[in-house]
Amino acid sequence: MSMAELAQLGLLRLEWAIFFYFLAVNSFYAVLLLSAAWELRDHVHRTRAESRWRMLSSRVAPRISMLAPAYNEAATVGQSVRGLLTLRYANLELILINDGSRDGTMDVLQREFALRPVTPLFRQLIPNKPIRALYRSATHPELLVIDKENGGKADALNAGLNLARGELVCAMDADTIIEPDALLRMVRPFLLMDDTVAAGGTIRIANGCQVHGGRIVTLRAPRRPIPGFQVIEYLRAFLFGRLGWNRLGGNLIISGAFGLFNRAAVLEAGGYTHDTVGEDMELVLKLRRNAYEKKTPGRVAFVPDPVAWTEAPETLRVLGRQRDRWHRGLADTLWRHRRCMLNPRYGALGMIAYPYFVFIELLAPLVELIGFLGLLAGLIMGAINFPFAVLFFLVAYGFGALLSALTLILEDVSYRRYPAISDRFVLFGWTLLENIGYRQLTVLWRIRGLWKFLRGNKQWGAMERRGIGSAAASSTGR
Amino acid sequence: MSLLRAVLVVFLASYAIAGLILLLRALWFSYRTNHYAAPLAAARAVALGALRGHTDLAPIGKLPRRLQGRVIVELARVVSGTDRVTVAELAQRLGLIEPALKQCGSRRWHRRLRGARFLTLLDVKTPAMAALFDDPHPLLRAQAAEWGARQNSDILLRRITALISDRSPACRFTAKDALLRAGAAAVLPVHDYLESAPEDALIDALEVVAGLAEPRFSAMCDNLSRHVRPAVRVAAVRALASIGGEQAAAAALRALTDSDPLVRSAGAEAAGLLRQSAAAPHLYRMLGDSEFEVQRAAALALRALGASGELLLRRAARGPDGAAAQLAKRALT
Repeated sequence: MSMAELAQLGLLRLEWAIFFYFLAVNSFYAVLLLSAAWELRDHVHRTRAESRWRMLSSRVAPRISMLAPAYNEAATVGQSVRGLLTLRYANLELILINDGSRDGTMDVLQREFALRPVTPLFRQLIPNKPIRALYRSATHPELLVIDKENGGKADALNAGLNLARGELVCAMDADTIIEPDALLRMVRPFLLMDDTVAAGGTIRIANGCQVHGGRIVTLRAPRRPIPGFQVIEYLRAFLFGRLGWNRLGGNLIISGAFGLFNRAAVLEAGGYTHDTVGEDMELVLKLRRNAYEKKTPGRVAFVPDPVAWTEAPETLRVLGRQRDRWHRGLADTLWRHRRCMLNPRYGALGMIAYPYFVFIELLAPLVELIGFLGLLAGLIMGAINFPFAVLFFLVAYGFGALLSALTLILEDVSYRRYPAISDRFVLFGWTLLENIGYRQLTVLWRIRGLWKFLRGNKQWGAMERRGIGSAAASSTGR
Repeated sequence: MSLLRAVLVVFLASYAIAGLILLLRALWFSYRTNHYAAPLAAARAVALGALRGHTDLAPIGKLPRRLQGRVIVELARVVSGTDRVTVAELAQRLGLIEPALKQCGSRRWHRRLRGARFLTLLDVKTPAMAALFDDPHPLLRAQAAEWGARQNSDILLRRITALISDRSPACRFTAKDALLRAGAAAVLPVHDYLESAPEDALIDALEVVAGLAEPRFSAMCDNLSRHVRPAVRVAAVRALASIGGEQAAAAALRALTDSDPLVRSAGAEAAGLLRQSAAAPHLYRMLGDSEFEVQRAAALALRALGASGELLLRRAARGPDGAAAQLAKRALT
C-alpha cells in the first residue's frame, strides 16, 4: 500500500471516528433534552397556579442581598438600580459595587439616590481591593453602595459578600434586567431542599425588545442574525442544557449575570477567585467540590422560570471576544479542578458532569475543526467523495438544528415567551441558519480561547454595549 | 453512505415535523385567543357583576371549563373577605368545586396539588383538604398548611404546628409562615407544641415564638435559654428579646457570659433591643471578645443604649485595645 493510499485510508478513518464522536455527543444531548423535558414537566406541575404572594409578604422569608458590580456604567446604572429596587421580595437588600469606574457612575448614583456616607461594622472575611467609601441611600435605605478600587468583577463580588447581611446572595451584572418576580421564583430550591447551595435562573437576550423603566415591555425575537443566533444558543443552553443537568448529576455553571447562592457556603469556599475569567463557573465547581470533600450540602439547582434579560453582542468582533473569554474561563476552571476528572470520590460530579465538560464542552471545537479540515483534505486527496462529504456535513449539523427546533418546542409548551407567530418563525429560521457560518465561527473563537488559555492570557477584553432597548446608550464593560 | 443517508432523512423528517408542530401550535393559540377574546371579556365582566349581586352567569357558563376556572382564579386572587366567599359561591354554581375536590383525591400528586390550590384560593372548607396534611408529597402538606391557616380552627392550627417538625423544608417554611399569619390564634397550639417538641424542631418553633411575641411564652423560652444546644439558646434569647419583660432582660444578661460566641452575640443583640442599661459594663468588656461577631453585636448594642452606651463606646475608642477602639470609633460614626 502506497503512502498516498495510507493517508487516504487514515483520513477516511478519521472522518468516521469524528462521525462517531458527533454521534456520541449528540446522543448525550438527546439524553439531556429528555431529562430537561422531564424536569420541565415536573417544574410546570409544581408551579402551576402557585401563589407567590405568600413569599412576597412572609416574615420568615430568607434575606437576600443583591450584589451588582458596576464598572463604567454611568449611562445605564440609574435605570438598572431603579429596576432592581422594584423587585418583588419581602426581605431584600441591594448592594451596588462601584468597581473603580472612571466615568461618572458614582456621580449618577449620588445624584439619583441621595447617597449618605455610612460606616457599617463588618469584617473582611475574604480578600478584596480597598474600599474607598460606603454609602446608603437616603431615599431607598435598602440600597448600599460600595465605592472601591478597581479589581475586576470577582473582586467586586467579594467586597459585596463581605458586607452582605443576607442568608442568600444574588450575584448579577449591573446591566442585567431581572423580571420583577424572579427572586420569588429563584428562592424555591432553597425552600424545597435543605442542601441547596446555589441556584441559577434563565438568561434571555433582550436585543430587539423594548425597555421602559428598567422593565421589558415588548418582547420580540431579534430580526438581526447575530443576536438571533444567540437567542437560539441561550435557549438551548438554559432550557435543555442546564435544566437537563438537574437530573444528571447537577449543574456546573450558574450564569454570572444571575445566580443565587447561600452566603455562608460561598464564604466557606473562599468567595470568588480573582485570577480567572471564569469566576462564575469556578465558584460553582468549588462549592460542589467542597461539598464532596467536607460532606456538606452541595446541591446546585437550575430553575427555568426566573428570567434575567441581557444585551447580547451585535458585532462579530465583540461576540468573538466574549466567546473566546468564555472558553478560556471554561479551560481555566477545568484545569484548576482537574482532580475531579473521573474521580469516584466526587460522585456524579467526577464521573459524569466533569468528563462531559472536558470531552464535549471544552474539546468539541477542536474535534469539529479537525473533522472539517480532514473532510477538506479527504476531498482534495480523493479519499472522500463529494456526496459523502456533503452528507457528512448535513448529518453533523442537522442534528444540531433538530435539537434547536426541539428546544423551541420545549419553550413553546412551557413558557411561550414569544407570543407572536412571526417571532416563532423567525426563531425557527435561526435554528437552521445558525449552522451555516455562525457555528463555524464560534468554533474558531473557542479555539482561539483555548490557544490564549495555553498562553496564559487572562484579559477580559472590552465589551461594547448599546444599552438594552435603546440605541443611544453605550458603556464599556470588562 | 446509506447509513448517513438514512440518518439524514430521519433528521430532516424530524426537523420538518418540529416546524409543523410549532406552526400548528401557533395557529391554534392564535385561533383560540381570537375566538375566546370577546367571550372571556364578557365572562370577566359578569364575574365582577356577580360581586355586586348580579345573578346571570350564562356568559361564563358558555366558556370551556378550563377558561371558567381561569376567570374565577383571576377574580379570587384580587379579592378578600366576603367578596372571596361570593367568588367561591360563584365557582360552586358553575360546578367548578366538585372537580377540584375530585382532583384532591387523585392518585397523581400534581392533580391533587392543582385541586388543592384551587380550593385554597377560594377558602373552601372541606375534609378533603384536611386529609392532605397526611399526604406523602411535601408540596401537598404545605398546601394544606396554607389552606388551614385561613380556616380559623384550633384543630387545624395544631396540625399546622405539627408540620414545624416535618422533614421537608417547604412544609416547615409554610407552617411557620402560616402560624405567624394566624397570629394570636396560633399562640396556644404553638405553646402546647413547644412543651413536647422534638429537639430538631425547637429552633423553628422558637422562630415562630419570636414572631408572635406573646408573653405567655416567656417562662418556656426562659427554660430553653438554658438548653444544652447553643443554637437553641440563641433562638430562645432572640424570642425572649422580641417578647420583652423581666425574664427577657435576665436571660439577655445571662447570655452575655455564655461560653458560646453565638449565644453571647444573641445576648448582646437582645440587651440592645431591650435597652438594658444594666448590661452596659458587660457589653463594654465584650468589645474585647475574641469573636468578631460578639464585638460587633456589643458595639451595636452599646450604640442602641443611647447616652450611657455612647459614653462607654467613647472610652473604648480611646482605650488600649486597638481592635476594640477601631470598632467603637466606627460604631460612633
